[in-house]
Formats: sequence, structure tokens, C-alpha cells
Amino acid sequence: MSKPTSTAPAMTSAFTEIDFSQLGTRKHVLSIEELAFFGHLNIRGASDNSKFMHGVENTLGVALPTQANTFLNVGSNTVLWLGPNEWLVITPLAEAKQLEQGLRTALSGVFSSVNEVSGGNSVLEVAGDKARDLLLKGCPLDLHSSVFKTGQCAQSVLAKTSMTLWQTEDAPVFRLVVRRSFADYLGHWLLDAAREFQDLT
Amino acid sequence: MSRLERGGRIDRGQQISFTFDSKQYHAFQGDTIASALLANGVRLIGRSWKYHRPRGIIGDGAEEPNGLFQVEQGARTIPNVRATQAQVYDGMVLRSTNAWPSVQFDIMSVFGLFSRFLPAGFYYKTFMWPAKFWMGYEHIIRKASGLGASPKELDPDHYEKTNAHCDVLVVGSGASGLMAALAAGKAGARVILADEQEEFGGRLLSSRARINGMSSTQWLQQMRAQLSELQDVQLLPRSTVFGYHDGNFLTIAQRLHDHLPLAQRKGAREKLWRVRAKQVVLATGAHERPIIFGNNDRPGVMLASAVSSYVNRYGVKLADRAVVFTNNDSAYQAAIDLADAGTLVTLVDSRVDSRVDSSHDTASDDARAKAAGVKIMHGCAVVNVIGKAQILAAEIQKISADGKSISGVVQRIDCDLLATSGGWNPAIHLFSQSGGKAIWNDDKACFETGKAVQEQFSVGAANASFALQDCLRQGLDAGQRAAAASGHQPVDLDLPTLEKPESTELTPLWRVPNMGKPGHGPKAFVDPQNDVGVSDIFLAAREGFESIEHVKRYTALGFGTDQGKMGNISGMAILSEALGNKISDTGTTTFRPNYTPVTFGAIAGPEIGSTLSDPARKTAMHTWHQEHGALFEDVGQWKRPWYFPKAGETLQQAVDRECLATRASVGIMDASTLGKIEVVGNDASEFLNRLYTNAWSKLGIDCARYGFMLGEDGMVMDDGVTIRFAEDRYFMHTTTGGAASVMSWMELWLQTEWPELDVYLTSVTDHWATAAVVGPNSRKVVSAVVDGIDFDKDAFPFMTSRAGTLLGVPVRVNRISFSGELSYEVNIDANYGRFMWEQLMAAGADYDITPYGTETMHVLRAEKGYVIVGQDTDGSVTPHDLGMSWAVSKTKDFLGRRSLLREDCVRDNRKQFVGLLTQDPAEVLQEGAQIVNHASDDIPLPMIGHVTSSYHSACVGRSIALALLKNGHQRFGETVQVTTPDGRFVSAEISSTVFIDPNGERQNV
Repeated sequence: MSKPTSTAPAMTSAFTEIDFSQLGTRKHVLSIEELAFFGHLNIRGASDNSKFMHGVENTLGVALPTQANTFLNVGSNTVLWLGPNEWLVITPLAEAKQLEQGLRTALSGVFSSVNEVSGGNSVLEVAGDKARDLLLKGCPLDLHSSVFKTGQCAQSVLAKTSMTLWQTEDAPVFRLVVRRSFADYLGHWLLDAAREFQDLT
Repeated sequence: MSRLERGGRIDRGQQISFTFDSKQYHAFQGDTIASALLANGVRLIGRSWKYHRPRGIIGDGAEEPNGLFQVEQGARTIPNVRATQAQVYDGMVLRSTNAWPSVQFDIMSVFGLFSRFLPAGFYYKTFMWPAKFWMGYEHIIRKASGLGASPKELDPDHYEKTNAHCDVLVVGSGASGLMAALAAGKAGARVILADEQEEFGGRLLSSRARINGMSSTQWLQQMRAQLSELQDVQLLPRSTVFGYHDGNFLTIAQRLHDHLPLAQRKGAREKLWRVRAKQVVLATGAHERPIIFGNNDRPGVMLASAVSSYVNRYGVKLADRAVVFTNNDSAYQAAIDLADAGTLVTLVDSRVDSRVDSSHDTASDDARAKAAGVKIMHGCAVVNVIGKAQILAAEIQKISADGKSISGVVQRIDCDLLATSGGWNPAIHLFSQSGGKAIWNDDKACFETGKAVQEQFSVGAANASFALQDCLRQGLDAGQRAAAASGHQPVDLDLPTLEKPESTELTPLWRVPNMGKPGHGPKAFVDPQNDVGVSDIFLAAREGFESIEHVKRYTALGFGTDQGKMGNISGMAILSEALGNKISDTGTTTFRPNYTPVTFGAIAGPEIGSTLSDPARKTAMHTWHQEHGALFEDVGQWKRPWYFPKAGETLQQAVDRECLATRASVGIMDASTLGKIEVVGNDASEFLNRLYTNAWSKLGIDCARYGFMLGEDGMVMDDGVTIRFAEDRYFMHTTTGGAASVMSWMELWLQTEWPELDVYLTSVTDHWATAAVVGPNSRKVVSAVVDGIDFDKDAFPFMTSRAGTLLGVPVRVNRISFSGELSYEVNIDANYGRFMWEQLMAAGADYDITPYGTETMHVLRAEKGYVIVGQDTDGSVTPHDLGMSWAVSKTKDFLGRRSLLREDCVRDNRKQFVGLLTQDPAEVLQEGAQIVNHASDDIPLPMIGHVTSSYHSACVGRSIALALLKNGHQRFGETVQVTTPDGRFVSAEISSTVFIDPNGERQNV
């Protein structure tokens, strides 16, 4: 039996029914965009374990953030603090597998766990004057500019699914990681929640 | 029109029209339904609930018991809209509630003639016995009583929800609320100010008080302007704070467009705010209460404060001749407002005149009223009113200083309005909801707030401080203290000055005593909405009810849309009198959310319909399944393909085809939904040893093992195959529905009981897309597309796992089986899930690869007797009951092990897992059907088990079933009887649970 002929391996977005462009073009008011096909690595380890911290730093090129609910942008990587012993690294997809192997090798013999979760995560960027109002409809966190600022991240819920949220610019620009299987649900929810601002966009 | 020539906050430049019971009326922009009807001279607006007595508007706010309307028709109809709080708009359509065929001529009003025979508890006493007649009675009663009608169509409106956070939430925008909001806002606090009314101002909107030398209207304008300049102050008019929960979490229903003509409405109708506030200022005001006397429910009897509202705020000319009846000072202002509006006013004060010395004080209420032309009668009370659909006169007698007796000749004063004030009840509803306890204050004759149990302040009238000067001062103080408590430096604000302080002195008088016995003489109403009279409360007391909670339920006091805002406190006072108790001993009923009724739409918000009511989780192959005609089944939140019918196929035909094709050649199923957890760390083996019934330490690398997880009760909780990828790394499968709870269960043990174990858990369920390729040709299909793996049957044996690539993309192939067939589960990064599926479909084309769904999966596994946790088990089944003792270690400890040794777990006659073969092979048993030994046994037949799974099996060529049966493992070959939905008994033989390939050879080829 011959192998089936095929073009290059094709990836598909988790958002199969959602067209965020219908929100309009006035992006300073509100825009939602999918940033598809990033690599995601979940890292577990103790921040007071210097072997672990050094092992990660040597491989990643940057120390893991240890201040609660903060993230770092370094090169093409974003490193999010998820908990006292958990981080999420977002990296170009092509580098994810190699980074996973590199970290596992560097952390050999150190109590830690590194797992690629690229396929399970989708990234959205929500920006504009109404971005906070939009997210507040489904997120119980206080997103006021005096409380949640650029450089901060948090794990929370959005509507009836979980998410990880971080703010990249004061404008404000937020990014969020949502679980793949919930993507269409969340897309529908976001478009519905954005109806209030549609006239403005 | 009964409209004053000038004055009021209505916009006389904007005339609008509306209809009430099909008749057209005119009003001005700014009118409420109540003010519009009163301005049109409409007094009779509905009929009462039980006696169908004519009723009119009494109040001007949330306490209104009578002014309930059906607004609009069809899908947008809203029942029980309070006339006092809903703004009239152009084209509004109103219908009266609870009158048939019309308000003017109500057939049911005949009930009123027999009111003596419809006492409290009437329904309990009369209709509850004999019980079999209740359904018939109820039908008639429901028609005769009840409130508005709910819409029958789908709600066309859209609703929003939002979360919000603030330093200070101020509830109520009267004098105290505005001062609090401004003080907190100026200090830099994040403030939300919410008020249920159309505009901010509370009772000041109805007041002629002068503040800081200006009219209250000008002062309000200035306050609103200052507030709107503050960036972090959110102003929410038309927003009712209806719930106060733990942790200073409050809920607000904001009405966005109910005040607009239908054609002008757009966007959401309501928004539900879920507010988490650091500090809460309750400036919720107070509800005035009436004094209760004979026929006090007649249209034209109103609250004194409402009278001031209709005159001052809405410019309504209410009457030519009015009587104002009071036991306190605050109603003098209503008399003055009426007199200044041209009404001839007699003020009846139940208190003896104690103001001899103050008569020289021209600023006293007494002197001001006299100066305005009000005739004042002291030591008198209104005992009865004359008139039915509209009052014509008040009957007045002398009343003793203690309020216990009346005497003297009856003096009749003609009037078309009777304003009454028995004092004020602080609106402590939210305070009470927050967990605070109400305390009776004898001096003020009201319940007031006790100690705050959350971060909150009660101010102004809500704090039983009814005078304006106190409201302003307490509001300012609370605003500054709330700002400081939430981390802001208070700023100095001047306390506004008044021309004269308000006086609120009061001598309690709840009801005017009757010359006759209670129950005789004219009916005196305590709770007009529920037609509860003084006599009903006395009757309840006579019949032995002592707790206010019981009296409430016996008489219906305080039920309905107003929840007793007008009558509850008076009812308690009267019950105290009937019982000879002090009011403080009678206590108050509990105030529960919601403060006023909230629409279901606001509570549901956008979370309705198939897309938003509950998340539909989809696998990476979902679109392929849709494109290929799959029907879907909900498994947890997942949408799983159920089966893939070809044109014209029934479920059974499709499943038969899918089963036969899979066992004959190859099938493919989306297995992505199974829970997947990476278990990593030096103690991973030990952790699994403790979680699972079987042992893991000796499992080889890249080898797989099936395991049971038990609850602490020893009962099967979850199952699945776990693979060892490395010495310290396992890959666990859970059931689809159990994934989240198993993950939490594992974290619970790791974090709270076994923190010494070095184990990290990571959920990777969503990362992997999984295709199960099943059947004798599966090896050919999978090996055709996966590189880097030796698929030789010995090189890659059953229950092992290998890593490879699919066109360069890494895959993990697990040779495990849930069908008894040669089978490979191929896992890939879900971004490539659909791509992988299509590759496998293409590779399988030569073998007629057949996609199948959950139904075929269920049949295939049942043919092998494989358990589905949650279908064949129900939380009362041990692995031994399932005949799977081989999976239970006898040498190590594990969760649930001790429970397996309980007497009940080792006794005889437990229900055990068996197969059933019906005598008639075409008969498919009902899942859940009960099993008995002999149909001919005496009733009740002892039930000895039930069917857990049942299918027609195309591969076996007959029906098969699985069951839990008492002592089943000792009864193979015996015959039992199984019930059917149509009442028959079907004979079935107890068999092995394995119907195909008993030696398990097919999966080892």
C-alpha cells in the first residue's frame, strides 16, 4: 500500500464558526483577533529549587518570573506566571517541540514537568477602548487600569470557560489563552457580548 | 386634565399619548404611569386580589401595592409593572390587572359582598379537603385571582450581564446617597451610585425644601453635575440593587430601555450588574406607612408623601378638598403642598395639640400649615371613608391619647382625597439581606438597622434618621469614612445648610380602633395587595398563630409583588396588639432577595439558546464529522459523533453497518474527548499505586495498563488506560465525562494529603487529537501513514505505545482497544487533528474504512463486556461486583481499599455484573429495566437487579444486554424475567458478559 499523497501537513484553527472581522474596522474601539498556531509549553517546578530555576533560565534565556501574576516578553517568547510552581511559555510553534526537549534535558533529574500543550490552546487578542467592558461581561476579575496593568496576567474564567489573561499594552491590549475545545463557544459568546459596542465599531 | 398650571419636573413641552384599557390618554414626558393616570383624573385602576374591591394608587414608589399594570401585548408584554416606578412613553399600551371584564364592572366583585365568609386561611380550610377536589377548586381560584399574565411567545429582547468592582457602592441617590457618593468620589474612590428611579434625587425630587439657599431642583442639578465630572464615579439610574450577598457582592438590575417607545428601543433591554464593592453605603430611604382605618383601601386614600410627590414632582392637581390624617409631623408638609396647590385641606392629627408654646414660632409645621390655610384638628382620627370607586367623605371621631378608643360624634368631612401618614419604615431590606439584624426602636416606632456584619454604612432614612439635615450629614460622613476605609484620603466638603431643620416627631398609631368587634364594621386593610385586613390578623391570633412567620403564611400578609413594603410592619404591630406582646418580641420576617421583582431575562442574561446556555466542546475533527453527516451526542459538554448515517439509514441500520465493517475490516472513531493527564515526578508510580486498585511500579516503559479508580467508599469512580512514557512519567486516560473531576480528585490528594509526593499533574486533554483506528485492517491503515514505528505484531505488541511521525508531525500511537479488535489510537497535536484524520481516511479507503460514533463504540465494547463507568456502574459498584477482581491488588494499599472490606462490600447477594440473553433474540431489553425472578410471585415482586446496557448486536446476530443482578456471578445459565415498558415480562438467560471472542484473540493478532 502506498502512502497517500498529500501537501504539507495542514493545521486548522480552533475557531471554526467565528468571524471576528464582523466587528468592524474601528479597532481603537474594539477588536478581537485570533493569533493562531503558537507553541505552548506548560512548565511545573518549584521556584525555590535553584536547579530548576537555573535549568529553565539556561534553556529559555530568561529567568522565570516569580512575582505572582506577572509575565515577561523575551525575544519571541512570552513567559506567564500561572502559580507558585507553574508557568506557561508561548513560543513560535516550530520551536515548541525543540524547546520541550531542551527543557526536559536541562531539567533531567530535577523535580519538574514540561509539557507541550500547543494543540490545546488558542490565543486571542482583545483590544480597544471597550476591551475591558467586553471582558468584564464574563470575567469576575477587577480589570480597572489601577488594578490590572500592562505586565500582569491572571488565570480566571470568561463566561463559562477558563482562560489565562494578560495585558500587553496600556491602550489597552489584552491577550488571552483559551482552551481549544471551548473556542467556538467562546467566539459566539464574545461576538454576542460585543453587540453592545457594534455601533461604535 | 387634573394638572396644576405650573410646576413639577415633567416636560410640558412634550405631550405624549398612551392607552389604558383601550382608552387613549395624554401625559407629559417625565410622568410615571401613576402620575399620568392621576393627572387624567383616573382613580380606579384595578381590582383587589381576593375580594375584587376597587383600588387606586396609594404610593409613589416600590411600596405601591395596587398600581400594577400589564404593559404592552404579545411577546413584549410585561406583567405587574408598578405604575409608580414606570415612566410613561408615547404609544404605551396598558391594561389593568385582575379585573374581568373591566375595571368599572368587575363580575368577581361579588366576592366582596361575602368577605366575611372569605377569612384568612379560607383556602386551607375550605378547599384542601377532600383532597381529590383540590384540582377542580384550584382551577376556579386561579381564574378568579392571581396577578398579571406572562408572555407566551419567546422574549424578543436581549439581556446583558457584567461584573463590576468599586471602592464604594452607594445604593440610593436621595440626599444622603448623593452626599455619600460625592464625598467618596471627591476623595478619589471608585464609586458606583445606583438608584431605581428614572433620575437621581430620591425624595428630594418631590420636595420643596431649600438647600444652600437654592431649590432642591437646583441643588440636585449641582450635585449631579459634580458627580458626572468625577472620572471613576459610575452613575446608574433606573438600576435597582436587588440583592446583597456575602463578601459585599451585590446585584443590580439596570433597565436600559423600558422607558422608551417600542420603536426607539435598541440594544439590550436590561443589564445585570454583579458588583464586588469594598464598601457599601445603604442610602435606601424609607417607606411611608398608612394609618389603618375602615375602608382605607378606597381609591383616593393615599400616602401623604405620595401626595407631595404627585403635586410637587408631577404637577398633578389631586383634589379640590382633602383630608390629611397623621400621627406625626412629616405629613404637615403634604397638607401645605396641597393647600399651596389650591386644595381645601383639613389636617387630622391623632395627637393632642402640644404646640401651644410653639404657636408663636412661624417656622413650625403647625404655624406654616395654618398660614397656608389648612384647618387642623388635634386628637382626632379618621374612622371610615364613604365612597366606593372614589372616596366622597371621611368620617372623623375623637381618639384617646393612647390611641385605644374612639368617642364622640362622627363628623363627616367631604373630600376627594385622603392623605395618611403613620410614620416611616426604613428600607432595611438590603441591610437584612447582608446578614444584619433589624432592631425595634420604640421611640421612632420602626425597625432600624442593627450592627453591620459586612463592610457597610446605613445612612439617612434607611438608618431611621428621617429629617433632611440628618440625611445630608450622615451621607457626607459615610462617604468620607467609606473612602478612607477603601484607602483614599477624604477631602473636606461643606455640609449643606437648610432654612429650617425638619421635624419628624411621632406618636405611634397603627390602626384606628373600631367601635365594634374585630371582623365587624368596615373592613380595614393592612396589606391591600393580598386583601389582608386587621380582622384577618386578629383571627389568626385567635386560632393560635403566634409566630409572625406563621401568620404571614396563614393570612398571605406580605406576599405578592410588593412583598409587604406597605403593610408588613403594620401587620406585625397589629399582631403584637392581638397577642398582647411587645413589637420587639413579635419580631420581623426575613427580607430576602429580590428587593423588587427582577425579570427572568435579566437573570438569564445572554446565556440562553443552544450556543450560549452551555459550552459545546468540539474536537479538532468536528467539522469533518459535520461535513460527513454525523449526528452528535452530548457527552458531558462535548459534542461527540453519535453515528454517521448514510442516506435513508436508521440509527440501527447505521450502527449495524458500522459494527460489521469495523469487525470485518476497519473503523475509525474520534477518541479526542477522553481525559488525558500527564503524571510526572519521581513519585508518580507511588501516586498511581495509591490512586488505582492495581500496581504500577513494575510497568515497563512504553507499556500500558488498565486501571480502576475508586472513591473512598470503595466504589468505582473512573477507569482508563495509563501508559508509562518514562521512569517518572505517565500518561493517564480518564473517561470523557470524568476528566475534570478526576483531575481535581488527584490534585486534592496531592495538595492536601500527600504533599510529600513529588508529582506534577498537567492536563493535556485539549492538546491531543486522537483517532482510534479499529479492526483487523487497522495495522495496514495506520502503518501506511505513520513513519518511524515498527508495526510488526511482536515489535509493537498489544498494550504498548510508540512515538512516530505523520508527514513529519510527531504522533503517539497507543495499541490499546475498547472493542476487542486489533486497534491503534493515534494522537497528534490538535492543530493537525483534522489533517491526521483525513490522512487515515485516505489510507483506509482501500479497506472501506468506516467512521463510527459513540453508539457503535458502545455496542462493540458491550459485545466484549467492557464496562462504561457511569452507565454500567452507578456509584454503588465495586470492581469485584464487576467480576474484575484481577484488577485489584491484594498486596498494596489504595484509595477505597478499606471500604472494600466493609461488611456490606463482602456480603453475599450483592448486585453483580452479568450478561443477559433474551429468549427471543429479536427482543432488545430496555436499559434500566427491572429484573425479577418470577413474574408470578406475589406483588410487590422482589426486584433483583436492572439492565445497564442493551443493544441489538449485528456481529453476534441477536440482542445482548448487560445487567447488575443480585448474586449474578453464582447464577450463570439461570433464567430471569425482565420488565418491559409495555408491561410484559421477558425471559432472559444469565450469561457471561463476553459475547464475542471469549479468549481475546482478535486484539492480539
